[in-house]
Amino acid sequence: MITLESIDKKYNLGQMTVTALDEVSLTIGEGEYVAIMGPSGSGKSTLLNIIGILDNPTGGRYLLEGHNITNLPDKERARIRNKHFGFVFQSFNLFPELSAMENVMLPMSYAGVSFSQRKARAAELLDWIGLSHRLHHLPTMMSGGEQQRVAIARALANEPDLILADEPTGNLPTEKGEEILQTLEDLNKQGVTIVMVTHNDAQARRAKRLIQLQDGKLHGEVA
Amino acid sequence: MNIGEDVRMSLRSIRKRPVESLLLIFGIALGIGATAAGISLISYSVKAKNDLLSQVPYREVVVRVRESAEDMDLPAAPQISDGSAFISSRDLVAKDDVPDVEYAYVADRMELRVMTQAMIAQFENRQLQDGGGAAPAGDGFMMMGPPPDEGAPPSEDRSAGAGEGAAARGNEREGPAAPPVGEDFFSGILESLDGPQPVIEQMPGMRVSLEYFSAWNLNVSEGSLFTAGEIEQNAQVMVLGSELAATLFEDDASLGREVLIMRNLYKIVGILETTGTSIDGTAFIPQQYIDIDRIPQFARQFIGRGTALHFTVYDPDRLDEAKSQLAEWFSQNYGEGQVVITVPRVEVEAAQDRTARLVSVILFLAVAGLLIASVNVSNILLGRAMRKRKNVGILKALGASIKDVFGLFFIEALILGVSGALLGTAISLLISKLMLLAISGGAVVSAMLFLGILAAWAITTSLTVIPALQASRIPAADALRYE
Repeated sequence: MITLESIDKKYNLGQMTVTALDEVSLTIGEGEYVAIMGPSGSGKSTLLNIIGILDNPTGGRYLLEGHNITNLPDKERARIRNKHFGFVFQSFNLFPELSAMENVMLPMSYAGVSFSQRKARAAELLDWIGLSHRLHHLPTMMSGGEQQRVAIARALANEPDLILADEPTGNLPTEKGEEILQTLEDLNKQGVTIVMVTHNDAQARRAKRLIQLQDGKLHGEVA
Repeated sequence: MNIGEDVRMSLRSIRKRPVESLLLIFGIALGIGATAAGISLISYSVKAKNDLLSQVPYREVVVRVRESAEDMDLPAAPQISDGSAFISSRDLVAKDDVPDVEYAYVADRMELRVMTQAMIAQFENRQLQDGGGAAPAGDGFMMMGPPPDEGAPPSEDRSAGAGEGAAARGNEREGPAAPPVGEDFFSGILESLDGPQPVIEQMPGMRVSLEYFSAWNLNVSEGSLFTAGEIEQNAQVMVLGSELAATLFEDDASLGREVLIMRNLYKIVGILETTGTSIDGTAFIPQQYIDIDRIPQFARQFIGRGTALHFTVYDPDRLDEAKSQLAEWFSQNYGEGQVVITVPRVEVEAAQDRTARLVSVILFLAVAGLLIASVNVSNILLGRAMRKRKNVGILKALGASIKDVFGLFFIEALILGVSGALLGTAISLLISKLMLLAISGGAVVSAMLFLGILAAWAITTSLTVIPALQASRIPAADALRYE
């Protein structure tokens, strides 16, 4: 599904160049559940952003389904993110002025789905995730766990092939974090590819594949 | 995302920061208001200048005798004793030597005082009781005569006088009993009246030569203007402005009636079309034709004093040339420096230029104010966008393109901009109305005002584009790192 070939990411800070990713080559197959681990500053989030084409590598090639998408124009990249990827962030990143349902509807509006279909799909997803009683609540009126579940529902809005989760349980108590992990595992069982960045060793070990990063390089892999 | 959802998100975002949003709206409104009002003022100023300079007095060269010490190059005594500085309507022939002159005329202002019929009747009764004849007023006094006979064409047979009643009255007043003249006589009438003293109305009058009416493009709605023959014969005829004609007599019928001026009955032979100017309230009598050769040398200076000869010029750009040619003509006929030749347009243009410079400064300040307001608005919007930069990252992660993000931020800025612009438009109209009321006593909403509003809208809107553009170009990964 995804092939990264010698991906580099370097930042020029005046006289100094910081290497965030160094010659990272990686293949992620369809339906995999991959955890990326590493200490702070190892390049985990940068790698996740490059996989999610939120960031451009400074070197190497990115193939999606065999197509080189390294240097696509913005509009095409936006379309791929919208149709194929779903993002779950550590701090949920819901729009505070939108209700749970409106947050879930948002990605579908970029996909050109009609209002009634968006509404029905959002209600269905929120029901599936156990928040049918929270459809019209603003994020500020919900707990962290509930917000993250809304974020997962939003990530699933356009039925993505790949969920990119950046420390999805990082801001949640253990019990709620467990619920989120369980949801992600359920999704994976349904065939959705999951790539999750985490600090938590126990959570990482639940993934089918564990990639370790250190100083921007692949340090090891446990399958 | 469709526009409806962008608008909904933007409105919620605006509502989330009400104070900042209101400040933005008022900033834009005041900027637009001031600029549009400034442009309106410029527009009014230009229009007023053009209107003023298109009027007859500013397309003329005016020739006068030297009257005051300031005017004189020589001491007063030699000037008067010389007597050569006399000018009269006869000098209008100078026009023939100046090709650019369209019309030449004399127009001397005078004040006429009107007595009511009641006053005259009361006075006449007293005169009859005292056994004396009726006495007319002196220069500047005016008495109204009775209406003419029904059906008598007013313009016919002017030399024969008016209708019977009026003619009789005229004859009676020109009888052998020489009337007293001036204020004493008028005071005498007032003192002779019983009961409360009547109100004596004044009305403006003018002695004009033939071409005055052509120069001012005045036409009659009833009757006719003076003829050259009437002026040469010093005929006692009168033309009234429309407003005066309608109010002078109680029954509104002025044409063909007679009024008493300077011991002579003047017959009203024409009523002018309404002009909407002070002309409507003015009475016109012919400039007296003076045969200069029959006036003693020593008296000429007194007759000529105060007379101004007006020469209207086809093309205002040729005024200076016409002035030079007229100066040459009068030098040849009267000698060097005997007359003062002025071009009123020059003075007015200088004054207008000073005003234009002042108005330009006001406009500059208004536009500067708008730019400062717009830049501030732009900065606040940019700050707003930067505070929401994480939203840019989230939107892009969800599938928004640069264009989508721009649209969302632009719509928010546009809602603020349009709200401010609408308020600014109301402020513009209000300020403009107040300014014009202060200047001219009437409100004029010109096309330039709307042009000003449009220009201000354009400036404001274009400056709201910048923050939206900058926000949309924040890299998604950078935006998501922002907390």
